[in-house]
Amino acid sequence: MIAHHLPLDMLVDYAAGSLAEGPAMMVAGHVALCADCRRQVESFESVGAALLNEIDPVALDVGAFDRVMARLGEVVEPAPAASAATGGLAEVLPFPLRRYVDSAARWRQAGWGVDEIALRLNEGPHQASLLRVRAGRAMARHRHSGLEYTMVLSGGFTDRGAHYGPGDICLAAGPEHAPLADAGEDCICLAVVDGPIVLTGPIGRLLNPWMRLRARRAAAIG
Amino acid sequence: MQPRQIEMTRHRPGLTLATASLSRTAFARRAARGAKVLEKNAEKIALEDRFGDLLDAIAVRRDRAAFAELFRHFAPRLKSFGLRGGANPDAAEEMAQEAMVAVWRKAGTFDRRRASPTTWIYTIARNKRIDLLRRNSRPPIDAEDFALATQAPPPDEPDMALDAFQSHARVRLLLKDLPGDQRLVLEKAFFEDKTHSDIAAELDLPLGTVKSRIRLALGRLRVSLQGVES
Repeated sequence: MIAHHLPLDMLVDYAAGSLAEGPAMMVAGHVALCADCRRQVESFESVGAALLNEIDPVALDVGAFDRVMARLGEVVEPAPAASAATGGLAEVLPFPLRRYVDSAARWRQAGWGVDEIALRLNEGPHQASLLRVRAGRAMARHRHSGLEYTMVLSGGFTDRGAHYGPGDICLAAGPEHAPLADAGEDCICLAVVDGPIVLTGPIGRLLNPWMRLRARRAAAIG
Repeated sequence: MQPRQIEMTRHRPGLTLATASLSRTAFARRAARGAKVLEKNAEKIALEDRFGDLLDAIAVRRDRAAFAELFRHFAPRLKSFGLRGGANPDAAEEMAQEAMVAVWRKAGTFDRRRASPTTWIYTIARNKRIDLLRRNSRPPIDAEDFALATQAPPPDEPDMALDAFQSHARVRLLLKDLPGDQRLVLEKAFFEDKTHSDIAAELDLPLGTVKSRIRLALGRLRVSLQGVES
């Protein structure tokens, strides 16, 4: 049962098509798992459709109709398989996220109690990654310089008194926290952030310059 | 279908009280207006039904005449949609044509139990807009996947067989009565490729005001907001 959903304005912006790729990915992943939010997005799309009906039509260029009709017979190459992800990872990824993870993806130690696979976004200021926290372990205490959305894909974690399971969204901004993964199963999450993470523990502070460097590099690559 | 509409009208706040003191002629006038609304609603549903049949004809028989009819109705609206989104005329033209080709190719995935035809075509056009208009500055993102997520049907939802056509027609009718400021933010959100924050910045309004205006507008359109966090 999904208990923690996305804010209304994100669903509206998604339905309207204005959301940047990072948050859009979060919405797409969530609605793949959450029937309520999917229905909600669909009802917002019907608002877009109603507006579209009332828009003042603008004539197309002369010959546009013939050009389009001439293209209808074109043979379309089938799209490449949506998922390049392999093994257990593919199973936990909702369909819309699979294309972001290819078979060469490997977990890397991110250095604060989590393993990470950075995901490549094509646009927007966000960074997206898959995070894995080992069963029963806690992340290093940290805070966010921007906004972080985390969605559980498998396993679960507890943060500030609330429990999050598959499909649940945890919105973290500002204050420091140290989420604790459930015992018995590794917790895999999708995280989208719009600012670097700042470690606040005693050792974490020493690591911060390195984290920022990584964030800059990831931004340069993405 | 019709009884539901009558019930809705009756429950409109303020209307019940007013009805008690209405004279007979005023009541008759109001009833006539109600009947007209029902009639218009039925017309819109009939039109959507027609579009649905055309999409099915394309899916099943690759029916070019059916496609031509859809093209005449939708292509000029889609071009307008692209222009409102900030595209130059060439890009808007390309977007409209590409979207119509996509309608032809994907007609087989249209499912009238899930969406009205106009809503389905809107999502295709929206995705083309994301795809084409953002390509200028950034590598293309394949927006189709996002769309698939909302369309991929978990078929085990019998109670979810909501009457997509009915609700689409209802939204269209209610849209006409929307206050100007609410209509404005909705159009900016859906046509102008602007997020809540963009709209707040442009209109020089607090973000919370934009959020609540959109929320009010959706409420007036009787879009259910159950189970959604603010």
